[in-house]
Amino acid sequence: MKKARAREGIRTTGIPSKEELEASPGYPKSDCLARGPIVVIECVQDIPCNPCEGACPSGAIKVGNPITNLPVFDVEKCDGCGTCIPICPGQAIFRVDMTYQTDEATVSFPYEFLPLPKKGDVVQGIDRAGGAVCEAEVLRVQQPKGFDHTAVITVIVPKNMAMEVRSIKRAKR
Amino acid sequence: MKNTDMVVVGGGAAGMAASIEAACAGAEVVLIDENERPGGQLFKQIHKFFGSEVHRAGIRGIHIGRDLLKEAEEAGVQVRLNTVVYGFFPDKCLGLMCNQHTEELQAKMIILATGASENVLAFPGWTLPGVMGAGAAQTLINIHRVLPGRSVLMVGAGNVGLIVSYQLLQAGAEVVAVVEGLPTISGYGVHASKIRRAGVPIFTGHTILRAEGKESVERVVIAAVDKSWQPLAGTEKAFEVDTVCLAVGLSPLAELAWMAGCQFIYIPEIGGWVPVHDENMETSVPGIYVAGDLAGIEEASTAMEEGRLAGLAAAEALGCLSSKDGRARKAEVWERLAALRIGSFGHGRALAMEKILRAKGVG
Amino acid sequence: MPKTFDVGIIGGGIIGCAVAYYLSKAGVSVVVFEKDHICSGTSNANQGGIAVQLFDPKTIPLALASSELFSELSNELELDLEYRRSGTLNVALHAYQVPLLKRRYDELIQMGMDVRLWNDHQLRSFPGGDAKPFLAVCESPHDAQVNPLKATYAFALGAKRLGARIMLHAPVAQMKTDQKTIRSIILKNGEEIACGRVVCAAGAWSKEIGRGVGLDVPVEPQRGQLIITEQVPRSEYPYILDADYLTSAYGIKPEGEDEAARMRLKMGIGASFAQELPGNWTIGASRDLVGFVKTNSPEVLKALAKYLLEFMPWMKRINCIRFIAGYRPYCIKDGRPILGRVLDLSGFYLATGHGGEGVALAPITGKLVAEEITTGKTSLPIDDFRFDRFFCSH
Repeated sequence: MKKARAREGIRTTGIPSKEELEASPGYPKSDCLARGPIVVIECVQDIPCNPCEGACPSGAIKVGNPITNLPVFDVEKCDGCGTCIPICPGQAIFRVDMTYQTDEATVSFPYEFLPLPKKGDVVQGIDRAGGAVCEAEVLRVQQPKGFDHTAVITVIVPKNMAMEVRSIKRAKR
Repeated sequence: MKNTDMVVVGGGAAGMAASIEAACAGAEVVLIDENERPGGQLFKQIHKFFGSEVHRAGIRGIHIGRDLLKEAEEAGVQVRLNTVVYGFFPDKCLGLMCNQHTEELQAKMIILATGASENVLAFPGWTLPGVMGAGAAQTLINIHRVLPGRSVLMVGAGNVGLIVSYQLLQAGAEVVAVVEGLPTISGYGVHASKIRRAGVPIFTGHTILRAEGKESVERVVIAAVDKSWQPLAGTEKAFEVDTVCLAVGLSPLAELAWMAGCQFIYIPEIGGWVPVHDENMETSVPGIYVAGDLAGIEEASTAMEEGRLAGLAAAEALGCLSSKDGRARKAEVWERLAALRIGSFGHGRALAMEKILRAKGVG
Repeated sequence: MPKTFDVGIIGGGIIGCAVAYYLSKAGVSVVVFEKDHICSGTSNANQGGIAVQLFDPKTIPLALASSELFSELSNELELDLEYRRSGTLNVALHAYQVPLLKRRYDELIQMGMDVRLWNDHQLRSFPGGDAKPFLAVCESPHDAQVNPLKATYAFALGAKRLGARIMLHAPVAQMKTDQKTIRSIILKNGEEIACGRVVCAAGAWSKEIGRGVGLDVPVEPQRGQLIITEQVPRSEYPYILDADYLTSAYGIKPEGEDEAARMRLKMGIGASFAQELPGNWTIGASRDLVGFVKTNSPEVLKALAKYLLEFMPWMKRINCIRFIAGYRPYCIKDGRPILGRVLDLSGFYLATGHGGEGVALAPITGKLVAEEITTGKTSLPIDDFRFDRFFCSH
């Protein structure tokens, strides 16, 4: 089993493995997801970086010193505002709301491609490996000036895809 | 011959930061850059930077560049653009050339911040039009708003390869694959994740065998490699592309430091031959300082801090800063630099810097 | 490695390697001690010119023989030396140079050299265009050019193939003598190698080597600077010289009416523009005695560039890609090479002091010194070049 783990993971595939995610203090435990919209931080490497800490108005993210520490996420303090999402230079922060509907959840993610989709568009939801895994309806596209050209898109996906979908298929230019 | 307190050669991140610190301390500073505007690599870095607030984390490179430029102008730095420093002559005399006119400029202190140039990889077909450095592609798309091609193979999964792949996607090109000879991705995982989400496969343990095409690149063939970098038979894969970007490392542009007689040390992890310097960024030649990629390939954030350090140290040497103030200000920079050289990505660079400091002590 | 050789050669430049080659051909066991790497000194910083028409009349016979040897060596050695008889033009651009040039032409004709004075038609057709017409030209069609780096390496490789040893990064510390006879060489790292004979081919460093055995070898480093240009199409006349070389030969100060001429005199500038085979021009040349200083000076570079444009104004648009400087091993007593045995020290030979003519004279130097060592006689007389000439009273 150890060999398999050495083969896949962030350093060999560019995709964090399930084990790497679950080991990261920024990744919420699955029982937390039932609370409502919360942030999911998929930061698994010790890069010197901490803007997420300063961005959160509720103090739900702590990096501390040294700044290579992985961000520690306090789900009690998170109200799902998503201010941290466009700030992360690694685009590694997402928001998931499992309480959206009985069978549907929403996923919010940073997006820096053109053309941006519009509310109501039905697009392909893609997973961390770039594979299309389900249909996704665009619920909201936020691109205020303060986000500095990082849009935050929220899509509606089947609940069981909420921890898989992390972006949408780019439209042809 | 004209004289000045300080000349900074190279107006990129390190050079601008150095000029600002020195000018704010009261030195007469001339900043020279061969391009028609300063900023070096900063204006190509359209992504948000890492680090902490003091390192301008979360801000895009272009904004940092604009801010530095404004600061330099406000500090009274004399900026000479379209000017090449073509020679380093005795007694800290620099040969300048601008608009087909040459002149000499002598300075008490010189800070070299000339950056680095891209390495190349030779393979059959590497001279076909369509093969270029990743940095060159980045300049084309981010500065000149021109696509180098429609479909790209990126060679190298360091930060440059990953970031430029992402930016090529943003610009509307297709990146069919990234190949990396090492078994792991050396760049930040988050940069890799962004392009994996966008559907770009990353082939670790692979290299490019050849590029094919009549008048330009039409196709590439890649293959897996063994531990000795030999291609493994039967693992060839072909891709139809019109562009091959090489992101296989950078080497310091150290000609002026060589001419000045600076001592060098060879450290492959940070680009090969780098000028030996102390914790003040001063080389083995008194009065000559280095900063940025010239002093060892790292990042924009370390380049800016090294620039500030060199600027402060040179200003102190000129007498513009008391040694008490100088030490205090430098201590702040050393702390900020140290914060960037930790963790699995920074540790190797920290060791390299230690090697350099030890060499300076001996030499 | 054996500790005994017939001959130890100090210096791995073109002279040292040529001597090694000819000695090895004669079956002698040879070791070369080079303090740096092959071709790292003056052999690496010159124009590769064999401009015989400018040489001291005493040196001309050696130069002609040497050029002929280069032609043969092109077949004998394993590298392409890029030897070609491109010919040289010695140009009088200013009125005061014309009589000097004509006087020189007469001397050369007397010596049997095939040189031609240009007629009016030729003077009008080159350079032509915007260029100031040359006032007089002495053309020497058999003068030649060679690639100095390839030539040095070719000699070195040829010598090695014949059994010579070449030690790199092996500076000589001292020489052991016994009853005024050379016995061995001691390197700076302490190694001692016994050599029955020693040849000093140390170029600009010969004085230092000579001092080690109590000899005052009058060789000083005379700095020369060159501008190297980008590659451009081959010129009809790729090797152009200036009659100012002759003003120093005849001890006449040029009538420098203008500041530029005075500056050139100060910097020891005589035009020497040589186009290499790939198309780059090497633009020279200056002379100053400033010790072992290998940096370029902006004043000299600018003066060279300005002077070039007086001859060939179309070069204004061409880019310089590099500047280099080197030390000519200049014999300050009379400007002629120092060759052959030294009477006061048995087994010690000199092959140095070639000034700006080292590349041209390398083959003949190698041959003559090898002959003197192996047979005691030389196929061309070298009395004008012996070390003893400095001690004879006339």
